[in-house]
Amino acid sequence: MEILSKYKEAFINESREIISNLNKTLLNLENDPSNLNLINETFRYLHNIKGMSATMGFEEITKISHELENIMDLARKGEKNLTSEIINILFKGVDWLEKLINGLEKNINIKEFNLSSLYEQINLVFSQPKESLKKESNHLDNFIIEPVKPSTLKIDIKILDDLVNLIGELVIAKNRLQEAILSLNDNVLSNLLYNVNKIISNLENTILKTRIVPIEYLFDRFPRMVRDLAKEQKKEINFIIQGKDIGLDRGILDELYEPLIHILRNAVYHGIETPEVRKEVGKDPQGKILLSAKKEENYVIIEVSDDGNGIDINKVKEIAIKKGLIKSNEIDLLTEERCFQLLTLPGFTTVTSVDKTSGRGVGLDVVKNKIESLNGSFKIESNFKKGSKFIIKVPLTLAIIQALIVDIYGETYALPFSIVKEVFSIKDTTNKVDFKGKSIPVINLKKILGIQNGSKSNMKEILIVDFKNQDVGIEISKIKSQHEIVVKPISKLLKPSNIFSGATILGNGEVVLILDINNIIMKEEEIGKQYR
Amino acid sequence: MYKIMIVDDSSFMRMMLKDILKNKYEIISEANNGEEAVEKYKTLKPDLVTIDMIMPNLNGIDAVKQIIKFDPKAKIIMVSAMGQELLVEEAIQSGAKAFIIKPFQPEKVLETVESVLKGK
Repeated sequence: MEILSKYKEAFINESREIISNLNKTLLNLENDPSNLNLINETFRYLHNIKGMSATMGFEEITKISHELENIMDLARKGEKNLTSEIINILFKGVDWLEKLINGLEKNINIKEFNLSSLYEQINLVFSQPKESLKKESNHLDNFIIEPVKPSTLKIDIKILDDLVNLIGELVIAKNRLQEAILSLNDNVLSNLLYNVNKIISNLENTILKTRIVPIEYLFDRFPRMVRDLAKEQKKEINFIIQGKDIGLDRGILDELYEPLIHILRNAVYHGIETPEVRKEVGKDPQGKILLSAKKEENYVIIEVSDDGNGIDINKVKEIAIKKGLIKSNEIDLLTEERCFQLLTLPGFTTVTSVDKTSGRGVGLDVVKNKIESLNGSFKIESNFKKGSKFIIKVPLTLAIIQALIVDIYGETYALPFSIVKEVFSIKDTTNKVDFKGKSIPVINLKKILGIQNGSKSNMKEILIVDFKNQDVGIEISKIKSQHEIVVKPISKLLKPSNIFSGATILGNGEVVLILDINNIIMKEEEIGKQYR
Repeated sequence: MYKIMIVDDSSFMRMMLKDILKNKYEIISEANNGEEAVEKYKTLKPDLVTIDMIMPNLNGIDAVKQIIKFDPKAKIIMVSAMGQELLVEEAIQSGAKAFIIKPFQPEKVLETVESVLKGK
């Protein structure tokens, strides 16, 4: 049994990789159907799946991959041109392979799948007459395939997390050692310590880098989706990806998948017009969606822009007023940027009919929340009739953040620097302050953190943070310092309270909890209600 | 113990083959394309190599040709799928000693490897 499952797991993993490659080569073939390198590569992938599944005795997978391989064989020999119908059938076949492989993992009985229509379509390909009988050359010539990927190693993400934790421990141990050595006033020891320090800090940087993977892994999941959606909507879309090689923390990468799906779907459904409409308004019948990534200091900026219909700002205002999200006398005070932010309020949607995929509960508010939970920001720009741009900004890594170390009634906490907009001092504890001519609520953390007495001080400081596009004040006693911290996960015992996002260890060895400000504000029901 | 190198672009297939062979032979190396196979052969000089027919960066047959050019006595077994008879023939002409067919039948594989190793 154990041996069987070991093979099965290896089979599933490798097959998934191959399927992702197949989707890539098929998409490329769609644009360049006679590219022999692509044809050979596709052939080879199908051939591999066939061999593997035959070894495992997975007959249905073997059969489908064999049939698809045969199609590619005809294409390779020049006996069949890869028309868009044939490529569609290949896509469909690959989808079935994926379904069957997913089914294997969940032990779903293959008999539950009805594959007859796929086989019918495949048979059609073979029943059509041979198109051309091109060169009868030695078909070994066709095997030259361009070089692929440099060698990489797969590592369980848990091992990387452990490494990050261990290096944190090492830094603490080193700090203790450092204190002991410095108290001895010994030059030789101090010099040795200096070297160790340097190596440890290099080691720390290197280990944190292992969590960074190219954004390609995320972006490569979308071309297929955009293609399918466009076909379904009868739209012509040129989907362009830029900045694939930009690196991003693995954890963040996974979290961005859903928000991007949502934004891209919106772009296909509501952004890009049908070819007829585009022609009428003098645009290229083929719409353009650009997905790009670029690095800016410690952040990665991901943009989705389209040359579609754009967002009608007047309609946005109208709906916001109708839904009571904003008062009609306030609306003219809003800048254009603020207006588009209205779209990210819960319950806002400009599309009245709910179509198959967009809509239904998942709105831009969810996108914004998700990105903010990653310490990032989300912005919308749009030109009515010309197109829209959705801009996501996220930190390179969640493992190291810029943090404010603060004192709250004598206890030390950390919070992400990125969320703080402004800081100012006040004299007395209060629940409201004036900020930029507006009265905003202030949260006192004493109760939430369960601080019983705590030290008293005359001066307080108010941190202004952004919560769902509104300013909220957080009262603290004082700011102690600002620096980079390594975020460590905290035990599940502390998790249910949801007010801490992690912990860190300061240079002096002190363990400090990191406040999850978004959740804290959400917990403050009073304020929560006010901003719903 | 005889030293064997396994060449296949599918790690799953390599694992399968390795599990069949590892009790009787020492698997000294693996390669996932033809180019790597040729390079590794030159430095490691295994007693026997299994080579998959269809691979990126130099296919199986060209790998056989290059290895034979370097070591005319190299013992190479081709790994192929059904329906590749023509290619197998070409590989044998290029210097491969035998072939095994996917999906693997462990007894057949062991039998073939043994007979190639003995056929000095």
